[in-house]
Amino acid sequence: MPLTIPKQRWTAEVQTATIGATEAEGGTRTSTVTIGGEQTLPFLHFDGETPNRPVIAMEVLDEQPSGWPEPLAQHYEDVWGDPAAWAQKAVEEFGADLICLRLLSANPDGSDASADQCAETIQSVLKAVGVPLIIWGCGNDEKDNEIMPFCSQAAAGERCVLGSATEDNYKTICASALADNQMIISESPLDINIQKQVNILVTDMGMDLANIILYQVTGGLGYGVEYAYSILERTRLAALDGDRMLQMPMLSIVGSEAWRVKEAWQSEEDAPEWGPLEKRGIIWEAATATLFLHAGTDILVMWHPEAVTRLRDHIDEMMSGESV
Amino acid sequence: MDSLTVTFEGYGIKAPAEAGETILEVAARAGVGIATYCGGHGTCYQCQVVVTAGQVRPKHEAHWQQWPTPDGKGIRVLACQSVVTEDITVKVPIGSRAEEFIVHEMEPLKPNLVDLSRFEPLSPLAQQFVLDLPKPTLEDTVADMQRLRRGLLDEDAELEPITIELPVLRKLPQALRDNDFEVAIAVSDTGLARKITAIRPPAAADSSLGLAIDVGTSTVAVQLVDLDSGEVVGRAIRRNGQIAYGEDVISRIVWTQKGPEQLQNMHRAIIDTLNELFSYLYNEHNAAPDEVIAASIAGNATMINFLLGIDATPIRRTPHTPPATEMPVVTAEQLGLNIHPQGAICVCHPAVSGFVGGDITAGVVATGMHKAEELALLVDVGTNGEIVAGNKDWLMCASCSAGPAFEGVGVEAAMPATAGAVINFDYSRDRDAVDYETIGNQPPRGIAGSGLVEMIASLVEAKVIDRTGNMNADFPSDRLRQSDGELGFTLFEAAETAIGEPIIIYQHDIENLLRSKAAVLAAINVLLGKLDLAETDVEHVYLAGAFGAGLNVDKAVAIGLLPDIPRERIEVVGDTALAGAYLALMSRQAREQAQKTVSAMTYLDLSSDTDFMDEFIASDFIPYTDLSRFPSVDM
Repeated sequence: MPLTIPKQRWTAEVQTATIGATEAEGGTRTSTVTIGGEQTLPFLHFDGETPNRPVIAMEVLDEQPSGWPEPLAQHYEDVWGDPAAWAQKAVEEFGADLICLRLLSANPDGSDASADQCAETIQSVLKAVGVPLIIWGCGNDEKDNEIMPFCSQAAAGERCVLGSATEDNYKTICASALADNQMIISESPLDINIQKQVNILVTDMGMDLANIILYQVTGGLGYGVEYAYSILERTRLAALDGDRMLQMPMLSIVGSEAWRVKEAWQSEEDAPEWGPLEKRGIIWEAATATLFLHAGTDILVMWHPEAVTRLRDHIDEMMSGESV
Repeated sequence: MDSLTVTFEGYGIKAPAEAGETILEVAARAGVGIATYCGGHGTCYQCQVVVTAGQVRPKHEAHWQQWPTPDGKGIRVLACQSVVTEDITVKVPIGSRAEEFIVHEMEPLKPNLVDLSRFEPLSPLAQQFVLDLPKPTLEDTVADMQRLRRGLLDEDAELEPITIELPVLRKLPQALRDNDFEVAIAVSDTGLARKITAIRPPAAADSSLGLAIDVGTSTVAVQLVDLDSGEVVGRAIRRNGQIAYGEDVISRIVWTQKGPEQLQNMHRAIIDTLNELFSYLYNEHNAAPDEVIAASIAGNATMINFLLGIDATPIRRTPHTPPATEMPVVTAEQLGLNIHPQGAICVCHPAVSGFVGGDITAGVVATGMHKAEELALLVDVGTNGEIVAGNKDWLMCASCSAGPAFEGVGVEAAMPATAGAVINFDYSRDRDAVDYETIGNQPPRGIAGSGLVEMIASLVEAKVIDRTGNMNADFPSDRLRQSDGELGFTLFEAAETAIGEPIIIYQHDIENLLRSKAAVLAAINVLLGKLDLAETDVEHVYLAGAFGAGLNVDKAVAIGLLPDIPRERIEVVGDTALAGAYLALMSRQAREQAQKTVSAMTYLDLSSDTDFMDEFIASDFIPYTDLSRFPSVDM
């Protein structure tokens, strides 16, 4: 008797989103990135379509990072302080699908760069690479609200993703995105309800659901990622079950979270039992990324080129469907 | 010596002071009312104030206590123990203001809740009988006590079994002979037996009175009742004096753990509160304490334990077992309540658990949901929120810590539903104006529970606040101002109010109110979820608690205090606990129904329920995170 494999049927699918705009679409990108559209849980090709593969964004800081461990620093030392060159390297050498630009220099407790300076940085990066951009502020709400309109304006028409709208700070970023036809990241502190609430708040402002990317603030491996996994998975299950307020593609920050964990950076002298430092951080980042990938994340924001290669290979394998 | 200055923040008063005076003394002279029970001996903790600028010196170094403030500004001290040595600025928190503790006249209860015809024939908790007993003769040498018994049973054979209190027996021989064997006898019903509790000349006892009492965590309400007719003679409410020891039951239990004298203080605070309410009613209605022969009390488990002077600590500790759910009938003398010393004090309403108290049992009996066919929901929004679902066949209940925000504690602009309280509120964005109604049509003093609900609904609609309750800093009105580093929205300017200062709602007030409503909605949703019921299955909602009858139920749904249920099914019923206490005072049947209700009720413990926290976060939003569950609400 032939064996019929039962199929899980979902009532809905994840929204499809295209980031970046080519010349024909009013921007200057040479490539765009399309994500989402999943009709099933990650890589369960036998249940439904996964039309778009998950993508890797590489993070570019607009100023020299401090305290990066050697295995990470060695790949970027030559481009520190030049975000355009950094972005170019990430795309051309490491194969980044997108660039995630962080405007750390705007931090009032640090360099306190002006809105104009930030806008210039964005323009230089846009000129240097043809891939789409995710643009993130410095993390200080007040300052981000000051620079974001200029940043958005500097990239008008490029269909970038602006980060991030939170429950307590979403108005400026929404207004900027609406004015310049950008997308936004809707951020929540690892809570499905708050994620939905932020989405309702931004749609109350006139934001189209199609222009939202979801982001749950997670940690790296070892910092309660089991809980993060279940929150991401629940979000995706809700999307497939037809919850319109959770049907957008998801983004995860991997690099900075993985490298924050002690096991990733502690020197061999201090922790000889943990093995060689040059491998640890890479494995930590790749493992963290793999976990979020299987929870349903569509965009993974990463740091180390070798972790990126490993994850890309893994995505290839999962998308081929051969291992299933 | 130079005179010093004590500035009382919010009163606009700069009071001169001599070095060495206490803040309490300076305040009293300046007309700033700070609450105190112990008369400045540092024992009642009512007079806590916050010194926001300058330093004070301890009156007694050894007894000095100070506490940090929630916002980190200044220190909290006892006004009576703080000596002024330099210019200082003092803020009097709402819980310490004397005017907050004034007794107020109260609105009557909803007639359908206190309809005695449901419980006929009436049999009050205590009854008075006027007896003309045959005098002893050589042929009839029956003893005084047995003579009295015989006379009483002739009046009503159902009084058996009947006993007598020793203090009454001691007076009996003299009283009978002084009055030529014609006496008024008070008999109380303890549940198991009847007790003769008072003997008086008939002339001195032309009326017999009783008290129905709701001891709430924040507010205490009392009705003076004619036991013969059931007529309510007077009503009064006041803040519970225990507020000085903490705003909710948990913080009060924690307070009593500081030492045995603190439990005694907690007990005294409620006894003092009740006696003050009684005195007010006696004065207003020309009654004497001796005429009051019974009191029926409803309250949550913690309040009842404190009232009886019982340590309530086990309620706080897992697995939250209360010391007792059913209390014995005690006498007024044992508690120090100012009614007839042998007057029966009865907690007629047994509790279901440590967190679903006799106030809820009382509420169920008052609404009659335990006798009805239809599926009803009783939602009692107090400092502790309680929810009961069910009908004549089954009852299920849950409780949540809603916090006292809707009762006006912890929200600066709020107040109880008494004269000057805003009960209806509507802000118009186009006119930048507020339409409102106050109790007694007086200038506003503060906002009552119903006004707070309508205020939130109207501020969301006008987009002064968003669905998470965040104030919109760009809102185009002068009413929106930054003060003390926080956004506040001026509801009434100083010139419009009765208190001479503006009434402002602050960002943290909105957050408090939303958390309160979130706890209530989450408890309802979890309870209905466990029962596999949709909100549309609920045929009747009784909304009880701090809300006046004038509450616009549409707004209560619009802010997500209640689920989206057809409005005509929602009935605002006010203080159901007081209604239940009144019914129990008048009817043995009501007292027995309360007993039965408890055994019929299943308790759902939300503190150990994983869905509750999830629902709480989903409910901490206007009206609710899943908008599809509120189809009729459009903002």
